[in-house]
Amino acid sequence: MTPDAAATPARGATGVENPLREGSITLRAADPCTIVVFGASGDLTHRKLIPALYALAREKSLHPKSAVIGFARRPWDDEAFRRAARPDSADLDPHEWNRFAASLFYRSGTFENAADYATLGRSLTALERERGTPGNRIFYFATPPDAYPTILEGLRTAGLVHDAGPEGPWTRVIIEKPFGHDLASARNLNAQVHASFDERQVYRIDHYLGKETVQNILVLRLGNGIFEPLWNNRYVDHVQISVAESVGIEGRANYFERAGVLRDMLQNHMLQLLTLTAMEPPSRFEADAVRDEKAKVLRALAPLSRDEVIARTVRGQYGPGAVAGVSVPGYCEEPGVGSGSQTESYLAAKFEIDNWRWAGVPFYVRSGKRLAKRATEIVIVFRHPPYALFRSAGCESLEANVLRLRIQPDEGISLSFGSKAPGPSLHIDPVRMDFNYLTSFGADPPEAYQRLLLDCNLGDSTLFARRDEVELAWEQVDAIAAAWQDGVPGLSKYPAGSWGPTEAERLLTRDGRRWYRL
Amino acid sequence: MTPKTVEGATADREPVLLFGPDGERPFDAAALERELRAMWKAARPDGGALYRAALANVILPLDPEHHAPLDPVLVEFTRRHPSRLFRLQRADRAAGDAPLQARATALCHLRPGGGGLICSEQIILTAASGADTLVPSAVASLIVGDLPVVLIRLDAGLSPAADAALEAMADMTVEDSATRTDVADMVRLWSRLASEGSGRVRDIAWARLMPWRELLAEVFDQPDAAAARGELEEVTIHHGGSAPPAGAWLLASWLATRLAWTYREHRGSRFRFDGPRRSVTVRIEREPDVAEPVVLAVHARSDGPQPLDVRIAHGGRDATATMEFLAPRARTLERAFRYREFAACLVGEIHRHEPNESLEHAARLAARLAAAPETS
Repeated sequence: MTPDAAATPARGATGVENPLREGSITLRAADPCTIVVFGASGDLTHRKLIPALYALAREKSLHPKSAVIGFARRPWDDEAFRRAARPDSADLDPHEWNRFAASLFYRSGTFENAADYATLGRSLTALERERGTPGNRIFYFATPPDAYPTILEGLRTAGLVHDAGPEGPWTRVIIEKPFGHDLASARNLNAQVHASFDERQVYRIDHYLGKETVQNILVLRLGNGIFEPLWNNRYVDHVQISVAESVGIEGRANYFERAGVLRDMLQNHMLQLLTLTAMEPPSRFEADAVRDEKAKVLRALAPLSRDEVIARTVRGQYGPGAVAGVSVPGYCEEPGVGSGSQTESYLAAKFEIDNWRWAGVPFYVRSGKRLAKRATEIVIVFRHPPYALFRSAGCESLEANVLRLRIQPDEGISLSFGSKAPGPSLHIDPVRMDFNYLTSFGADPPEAYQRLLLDCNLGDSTLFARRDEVELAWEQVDAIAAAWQDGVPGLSKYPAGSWGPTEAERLLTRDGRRWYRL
Repeated sequence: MTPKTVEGATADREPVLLFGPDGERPFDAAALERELRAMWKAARPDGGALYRAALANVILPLDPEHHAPLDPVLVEFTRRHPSRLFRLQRADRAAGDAPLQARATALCHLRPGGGGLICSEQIILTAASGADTLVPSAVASLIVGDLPVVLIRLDAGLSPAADAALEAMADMTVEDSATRTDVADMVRLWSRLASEGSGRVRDIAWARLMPWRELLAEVFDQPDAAAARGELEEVTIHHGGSAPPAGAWLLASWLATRLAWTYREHRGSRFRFDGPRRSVTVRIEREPDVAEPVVLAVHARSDGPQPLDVRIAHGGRDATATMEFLAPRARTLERAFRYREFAACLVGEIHRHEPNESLEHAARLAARLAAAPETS
C-alpha cells in the first residue's frame, strides 16, 4: 500500500529538510529579540521607527516578548520615553498602544562613555531574563553618522555583541545612511563594523528599498511575461529616475552642507533604484543572489572621467522662490548655510551601463530639493515603432510608450500608449493604463521601515545594501565629487518651486529627449 | 436622490456607510447600476476624496439572522480586500410586493492617515419565499466581468437550486468546515475539496490552522528533532468541544500525509498508521473542561533511536504557544501564535492562486478518517 500522499522534503529556516514546510505559506515567525535604538530621542525614532515597530506589534509580526530599549543622552526614564515615543497619528488605537508601550524602555547615556554601555549591557541581560527572551539583539544606529564608530567601539568593548554562529542567540546591527562620506571613509567604517560584526549581521538600511513599489520593480519585470522581453536596448530608448523633494534642508544644514544631494541621494537611493531597474534576473530570490546582480550593474557603470563629469552632470542650488504657494528662501539663506555655499541641492546626471543588455541606453537621473513637488518615479521610455504607418494621416510624431513606476507618493504603475481618438479623422492621442495601490488593494502600502525592521528580525538581508554595493556606489560618487570640487561644471541656480536648472533640461534636449513631468 | 453618510468617519477603523437613493426597491439591474453611479457622484458632499475599489465579486448568501453577526467580519474583509459585495437573503414578503428587492450601499473606510475614503459597493438582494431562484440571474447581471467571483458559503441561505446556480458562476467557493457540527457535512466538504481541487474549493478551517502547522513544522526545523520525524510513534491532538473539531481532523491528516504515513485502522479515538519505519498512533482526545471546539495541544513522541517528546500547547487567544521539549534535549520555547481573524483568513484564501496540494491530500485523508468505521 502506498502512503496517503507523497512527502516531498522542503527546507525550513535552518536549512533542515522538512516535509511539513512543503506547500505551507512560509510566513516565518520573528524571533523574540530586544531592539536597542541609539539616538532614541531623535526625529527618526519618533517619526519612523516607533510607528513601524508599533505597526508590527499590532499586526502580531513582532514577537510578543520582544522589547525596545531607547538609548540617548536625554535624562528620561521609561515613562518619559513612552510619552515621547507615542506617535501623533490619529490611527493610534489607545489599547494597542498601551500594550506596545509596555515593551518600551529607556536608558540614558552618552555614546562616548564606556560605563554607559556596561549599564546598557546589564539592562539588556536583566530585560532578557525578565521577558524570557533568548538574548537576540538588534542594535539600531539612528544617530548622526559621526557617532557610528564610537558606538561600535562601545558595543565591542562592553561585549554586547554575540557571535554570528548558527546556534545560540544572534546579534544584528542596522546602520542608517549615509554609510561613510566617500569611498575611503566607507571602507574605514566597514572595517570598523567588521571588527565586531560579521557581514551577515550587518543591515545597511536604505528605506527606499522597503517601499512596496521598489520591491515591485522586480515583480513587474520578472513576475510577468510581457515586460522582461522588452527590458533591453532593443526596445528601451532611455530611462529616467527622478527623486524630487519639495522641502528644503529642514534645519539639517550641518549635515547637508557636507553631503549635498550627491552624497545624500545619489550614493544610496538613486543608485539603488538604478540597479534594481537594470539588474539581470537573479538565479534565486535570495539576499546574496539579488545583491550579486545589483553589484554587477554598479561594476558595469564605469566611474565618470573628469570630462564626462563636465559633459554629463549638472549641479544646481535653489534660490528664493515659492513652493506650493508659499514663499521660501534660497539655499544660501537657510539657517546654518553660509552665503557663499557651493553645496549642490540639485543634481542631474547621465549614466551608461556597459553591458550587453543596456549598451546605448542612457539612464538619466535627477534629484533636488525645493522642486515643484515631491515625487519619485522611474520612467522607462520605449523606442518608437520601426515604421511610421500613420504618417500619411498627419500623425507625424507619435508619443513614445512610457512605463512609469511611481515610488512616491500615490505608489503605482502606469503605461501610456497611443489610441485613436473618436471621430472620423485619424488622430492618435496618448492614453494611460493605470495601477494604483490604493484603489487596487484598498490600502496604502505599509511603511518602508516596517518591512525592513521585520526583515532584519527574520534575518533576511535582501533589501539591505551589502558592503560591495556601498563601496561601488561610492566609487561613482567620488569620481563626480572630485570634478565638482574643482568647480566644474559650475553651480547653476534654480528658483525654488521650479523643476531645476535649465542646464538639466539641456542635458536631455541635446540628446533629442526631454524630462517627463512628475 | 442625495445619498447620505449615516455614520461619522471619526475613527480610523470605523466604517462609513453610504446608501444609494430610495432604499430597498424592486430589483432592476440597469436602475441599480444607475443608482450606484449616482451614489458615487453625489457622495462626499464635503468634497473629500473617495475611491471606488473592487478586487473581486463576493457573493454571500446567508440566513437573515446571520447577517448582523457577520457585519464586523465584512467590514474588516472589505477594508482588506475591497469588493463588490452581494449579500443575499430570503425574507417573508407581503402579497403584491416584488419578488426580488434590492438596495445599493457602500462600505467605506477612511484611508489610513487620512486623505479619502476607500469604498466597496454592497448590493443587498432580498428574495421573497419561493423566489430565490431569481437571485442567481440578478447577481449575474451585476457582476463585474473582469473580476473573479467568490462565493462564501457559510450557511444554507438560499434554496439548493439557487445555491447550485451561484456555485456554477463562482470561480471559487469558500466554506468553513469548522462551522459544521455534523461530521458528515465536514466529510462532504473535504471530499469535494479533494475531488474538485483546492483552487476551486477553499476551507477556512485550514487557513485557521496555519499557526499550528507553522509550530509543528518548526519542531522539525530543530536540528536535534529533525531525525525523529521518520520515527514518530504517537501523536496526540487534544481538543475542546464535545466532538473532534474540523481542525483536529485536518491537522492529523496533514501530519500523516506530509510524513508519509499510511492509514491502517481506527479504534475508539486512536488511528493507527504505518510510518516509514514504524507504526504510528494518532489519538484525538477531548479535553472535557473546554467547551470551545478548537485544537488545544499537540503531543508528539518517539522512543526510538532518535527520541523525541514535545508538547505544543496554546490557550485560547494567547499571543504565544509553548513548545516544551522533554527529549532529545529538555527545553521550553515560547513561540508567537499567529492567530488570524476570520476576515484575514478569508482574504488569505482569496489571495492564494495556486492549488494547495498539502491541503488536498490532507482533506482526502480527513474525509476518510472522519468517516472511518471502527475496526472490529
